[in-house]
Amino acid sequence: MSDILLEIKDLGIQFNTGKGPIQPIRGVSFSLKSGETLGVVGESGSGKSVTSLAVMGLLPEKKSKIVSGSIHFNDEDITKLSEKQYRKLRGNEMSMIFQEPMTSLNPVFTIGELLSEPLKQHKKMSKKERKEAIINVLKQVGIPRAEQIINEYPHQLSGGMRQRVMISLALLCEPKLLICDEPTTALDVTIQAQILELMKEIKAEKNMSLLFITHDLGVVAEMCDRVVVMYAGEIVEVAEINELFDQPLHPYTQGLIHSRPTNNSRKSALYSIKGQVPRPEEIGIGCTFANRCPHAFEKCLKETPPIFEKGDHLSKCWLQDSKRQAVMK
Amino acid sequence: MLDFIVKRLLQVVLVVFLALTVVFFLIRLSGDPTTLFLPPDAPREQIEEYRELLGFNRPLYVQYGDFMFNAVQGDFGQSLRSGEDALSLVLQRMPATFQLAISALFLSIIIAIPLGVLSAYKRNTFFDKASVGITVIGQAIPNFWFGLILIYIFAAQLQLLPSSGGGSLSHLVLPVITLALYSVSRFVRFTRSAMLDVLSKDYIRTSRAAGAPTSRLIMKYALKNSLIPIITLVALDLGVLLGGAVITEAVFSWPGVGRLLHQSLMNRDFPIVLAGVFIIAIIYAVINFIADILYAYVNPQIRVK
Ligand SMILES: Nc1ncnc2c1ncn2[C@@H]1O[C@H](COP(=O)(O)OP(=O)(O)OP(=O)(O)O)[C@@H](O)[C@H]1O
Ligand SMILES: [Mg+2]
Repeated sequence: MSDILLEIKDLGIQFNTGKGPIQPIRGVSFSLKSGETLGVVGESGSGKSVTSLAVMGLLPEKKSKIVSGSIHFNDEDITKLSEKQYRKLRGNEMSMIFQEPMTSLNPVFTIGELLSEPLKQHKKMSKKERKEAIINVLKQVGIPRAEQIINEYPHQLSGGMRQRVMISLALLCEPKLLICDEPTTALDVTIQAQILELMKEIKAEKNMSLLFITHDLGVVAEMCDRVVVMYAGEIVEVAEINELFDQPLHPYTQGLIHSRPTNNSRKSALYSIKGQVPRPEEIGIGCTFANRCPHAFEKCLKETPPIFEKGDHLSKCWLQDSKRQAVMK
Repeated sequence: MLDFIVKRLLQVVLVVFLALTVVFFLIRLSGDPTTLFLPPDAPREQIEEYRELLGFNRPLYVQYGDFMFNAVQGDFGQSLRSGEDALSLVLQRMPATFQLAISALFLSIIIAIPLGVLSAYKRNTFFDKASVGITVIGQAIPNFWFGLILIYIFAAQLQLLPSSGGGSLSHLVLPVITLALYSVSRFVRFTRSAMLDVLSKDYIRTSRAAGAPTSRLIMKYALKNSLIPIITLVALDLGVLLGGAVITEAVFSWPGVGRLLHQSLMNRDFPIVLAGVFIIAIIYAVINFIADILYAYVNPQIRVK
């Protein structure tokens, strides 16, 4: 087995909307090594959730389809799996924690009933063994009174507790890949810190690979080994974490880092990138970021930039073109 | 919980009181019944005498007070025609009406809920479109007309089933189908949309991400959520079925409360009408009460409160 767990190549996803097809994901490629935590950052609407749903095989069936590329998990192209084969992976080899803890747990089932689902699907266990396993995992994620909680309903728990339940649901079968889609955005700051801490501990303990989606660079800095920056359905930069913060190559990444509220942000007005992420139907020729980019020149408007490689540091920007760099000097 | 029950009981009393009041004044508006019992050329004195005898000559509010005073004690007076106790006449007819309504409801549920679920599951396929189409027609067809068609086909032409009367299972078939047509259509469409709504929820995606197969998502995780609105609808429809049985009972001469009320209204036999309204209002309220309890049972968010 290679040490790459997940490899996405040239992924393109199309949605059929009332106004015709749009393609919110275009040519996305990145890979995740086993044991690594890879961050995916980008503004709202950049396609983070859609990409992760594609990995889980959870894209809305009739509305969307994968129009190009492949997703290899454990050296197998999972875009070609049948629903039945996919089901064997979900909740077992790969799990996902969703953005919204408040609406992501079924309100009419007890925590115990909800948590027994992946075990029923993937493990041959007696009722008693299942109960033990569930209580165990609840304790692991720091839920007090686990024995009582299994008989309670989601609405009886706080947001932080629900997210812990979601985490334990994802962990039950000890997956190799855990996708976290903004697991802490809906929570307040102290709870957020606790949950992040918990995820770090669990990850270290279980040696999982984490795909960590967020728009918060602070969280990325804390959690991730490497970062993928997404913009308007494309990948614009990939770099190791320190490299990204020290030497961001893409103007969009630079803007994101710049607009991060820091401790001394009170002194100066908060910087923000002007304009908005273009909607999928607004994307034309040239670089998708050109209309908001402070460094854009003629070529950016006419030609889509390729990916420039600088060792492991990738960026999709004409500024990295050696010809342009020669001109600048 | 006790709080809840007491509050609901007060509501029931209020509803029954209002229903009786409204019906009392409405039927008085239609004129007093003495004219119907006496020949058209009866002398004035005789009419007056008769009105005095039955108390119709008193001011309306006195009659109303009198009626309420007796009604509270369960006394709705005697039938103006037969002289039998009005309430017991109505009660005698109850079982037949219940038999009809409950059978129709049961038939509707076992046909409609699976169909609705299947329709949601196979949304936008030919099956789904066909079933939606049929239910639209089912809701549009008038009840009595459908009943007459059934009588024409199965009783008159094929001579398979009796066209009227009660007493045996074969008598039940046509009226039940007639009555069920509307609820089946309503339930199918309602179940379908409730299921579609639930299936698009975040928590269904969570269960899918946990590895649950589609059949399980539908039969277990989505159905239980959909049952919450479905139960409410079913309870409401039992009320509608009990009331709506009036016409069906008339078409098939089914010996239930509906037919009794229908006849009594035609005859201006007020005590029976009022006793009937009283019973139906109470049943309606009780059904709603039971629905609320069931509702709380499937919806834990209410149960805790
Ligand atoms: N169900 C859908 N139907 C149509 N288009 C969709 C659908 N889901 C997503 N999209 C399109 O995909 C784009 C990316 O959405 P996505 O949810 O992946 O963004 P995101 O990066 O996760 O944003 P956020 O930070 O707000 O969660 C959206 O702009 C939208 O146009
Ligand atoms: Mg998202």
